[in-house]
Amino acid sequence: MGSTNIFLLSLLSLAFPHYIFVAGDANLIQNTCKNTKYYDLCLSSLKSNPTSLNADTKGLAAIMVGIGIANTTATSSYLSSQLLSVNGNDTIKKKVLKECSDKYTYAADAFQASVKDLGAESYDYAYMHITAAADYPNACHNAFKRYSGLAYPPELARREDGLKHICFVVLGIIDLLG
Amino acid sequence: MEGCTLPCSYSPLPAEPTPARYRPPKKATLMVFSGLLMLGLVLAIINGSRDSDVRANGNASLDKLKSSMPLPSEPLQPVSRGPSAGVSEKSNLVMAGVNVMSFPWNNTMLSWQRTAYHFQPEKNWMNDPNGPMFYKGWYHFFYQYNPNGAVWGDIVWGHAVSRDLIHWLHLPLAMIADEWYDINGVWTGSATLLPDGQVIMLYTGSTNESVQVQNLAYPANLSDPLLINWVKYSGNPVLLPPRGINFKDFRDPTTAWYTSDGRWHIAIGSRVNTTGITLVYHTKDFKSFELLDGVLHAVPATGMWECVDFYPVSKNAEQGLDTSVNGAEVKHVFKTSLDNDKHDYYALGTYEKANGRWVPDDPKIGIGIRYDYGIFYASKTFYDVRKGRRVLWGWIGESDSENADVQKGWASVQSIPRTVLLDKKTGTNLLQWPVEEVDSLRLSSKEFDKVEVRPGSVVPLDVETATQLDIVAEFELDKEALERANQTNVESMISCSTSGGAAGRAALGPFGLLVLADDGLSEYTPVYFYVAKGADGNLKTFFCVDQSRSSEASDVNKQVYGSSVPVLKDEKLSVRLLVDHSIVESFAQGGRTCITSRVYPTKAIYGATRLFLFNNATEATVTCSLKIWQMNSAFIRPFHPDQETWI
Repeated sequence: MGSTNIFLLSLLSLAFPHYIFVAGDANLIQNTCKNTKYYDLCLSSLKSNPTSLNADTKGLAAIMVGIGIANTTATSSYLSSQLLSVNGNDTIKKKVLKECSDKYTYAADAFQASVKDLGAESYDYAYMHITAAADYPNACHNAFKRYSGLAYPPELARREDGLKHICFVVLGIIDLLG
Repeated sequence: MEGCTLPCSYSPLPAEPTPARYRPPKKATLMVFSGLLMLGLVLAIINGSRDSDVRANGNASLDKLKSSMPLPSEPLQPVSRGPSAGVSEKSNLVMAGVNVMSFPWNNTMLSWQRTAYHFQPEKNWMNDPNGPMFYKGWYHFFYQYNPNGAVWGDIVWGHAVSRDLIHWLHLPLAMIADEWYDINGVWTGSATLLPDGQVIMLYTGSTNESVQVQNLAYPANLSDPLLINWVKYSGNPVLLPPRGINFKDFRDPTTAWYTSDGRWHIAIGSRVNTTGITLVYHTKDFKSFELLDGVLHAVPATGMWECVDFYPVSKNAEQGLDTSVNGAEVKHVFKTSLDNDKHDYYALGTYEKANGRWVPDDPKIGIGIRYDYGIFYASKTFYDVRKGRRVLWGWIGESDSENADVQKGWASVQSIPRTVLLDKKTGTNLLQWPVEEVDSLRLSSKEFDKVEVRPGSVVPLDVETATQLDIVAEFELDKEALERANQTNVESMISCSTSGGAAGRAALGPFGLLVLADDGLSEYTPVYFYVAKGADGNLKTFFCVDQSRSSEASDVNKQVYGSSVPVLKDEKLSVRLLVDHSIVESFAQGGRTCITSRVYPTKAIYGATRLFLFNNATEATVTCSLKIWQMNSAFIRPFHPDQETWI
């Protein structure tokens, strides 16, 4: 490019001093989500958070982890409320629901831990915590399997799938980092 | 700020605000700056027509305001929207007639303004909450919505559902303007849930001749828990303005309440000359109505009453009541929105079963006291059958310029829903408090115990990011200073706005928090208490929010809001703040006085936002204990059948 061109472009850019190029944007969100297993979930989740437009890839991972926290916290609350409405004699069901509620709380803790690791750019550790979070629902499901008289509630099955999908999306994003 | 652990002393908040101005780049960095801009310009040219999420969606009549680039500074010329169509003013006219220049907002600043956990649609204009209810496992929320732009107009009913009043999922529009009787606007209405399972929605329609009429709608399919489709009654309208009432003064029907004579009653606000009134109708089937004699309430010189609300609160119990409950254990709240001043007022009284009259407790109460001393309008309550609470929704409009709203592509949010209870300790006001489900958004927390803030100092609070916070704080003034303080003429300090804001120093205040602040304190929003000693030696406490230094932009409201707050013996001064980007909701003394503010900083955004304690008193040291949580996003998004129960 000739020096005159650069000069002209500089003049032009001075004429429009207000335009500032934003780091994160819709393109980054789309490209990041393409690298995950559940593109639609990734896209709708990130778009629902206003800070995603100004986030880098690490920020997008953190936002998705936030969704994981919301999901596990909600499931834990749901299980606690299920526990309250169980018949007093049904000690087995109570035991299983309590165990499940605990597992989903641990999953929430695992997500919290991964946020710290993401911040410190320890992506291996973050990856490990997300994998752990994805495994806790299995422990809950197994608790139901142990007692043949106890049906695994479809609502819980939906939430288990939900959590695992969220974990896969986070792992897909972390793959793009570090 | 690094290495500055508590406490720190800084100079007190300066009295004169520095004039807001756009600072052009310094000469020394001009070449680097233009080099970057050159790159930006090249990329902008390449990316040409790419759709930006903050691009405006204008009506045909707003073509000249459509812009994806920030507008050059020009004087603001606010236009009126609403009154000519027959509703209250919907535009921000605070800056009309004053020569205010528009601020060159950019995408970074504007996109920061979107809230993370307050209800708002994905884009465009929203106003009044409509028909809130709980049905078959879902909380439903409807709202006044403009599908075509970020200003009021073309109003239809938006719809969203949630399991917990916090995590909302957007659904298709519930009702559009497709009948002669609502072609000029599908306006505000309320839901009544009948004991036999029917869902009744009464709403105001503006007809093809701009007459305000009441219409009946109901769900197309009661077994669809999402209530996606709605049917308008074939015999609409069910109510026309009665004789003596102007056809543009008849709107916003309430939820119905059932009385022992076997009829449902609804209230509709109106006016006769300048006296605001409320009409009452009764019905058996919501299709034919009879106007009752007299009015439920009337107050001279208050103008048109919009969005009236009428509901019982328990005198003794800490729970809400169904709208039809009445009895010795109950007080009735009468609430109205005033078209004249865009504020919501309520008064407590007794609803007499014998004659259907509502009698205020205080005969001199007039229009009543305000729900919220900031931006909070067209509010509406509903009885939450799931948890047995009375829940309040309020429309929180913007206090920036219409230009900025159009540029960012959206306007307005809703308050976090609040539980409403009678304040048993005072007996003369309500308590509002964010619903407990908002606590589920809390992430990590930090506690600060007994931080001493000396007179004239500012203390930074080290929380990681300060844009999405839940803050619970308690303040104590040192007893010596309280005793020593001279009695002031409290009458001269009758309101927050006449006391000079947070920079007006006195012996015992102001002191509180600086939210949405930047490191250099060039932008900050004080939320604070101001204590004064009255002529009788008793203390009077004021609770205020001061927006005069909230932003360097010139085209945003810069007022001081607030009011006195009752503080009972042995009570500490306590406050809760919900900070969520461009909205701050503040609750003093457990919700006795509430202030909702809209804040639009230009620098104190994203990672640059900070939180401080301040004490601008001249005599008293203040001790503060706080707990501060980071708040998660509520991930409010369109409903997707596969993902519905994940949050």
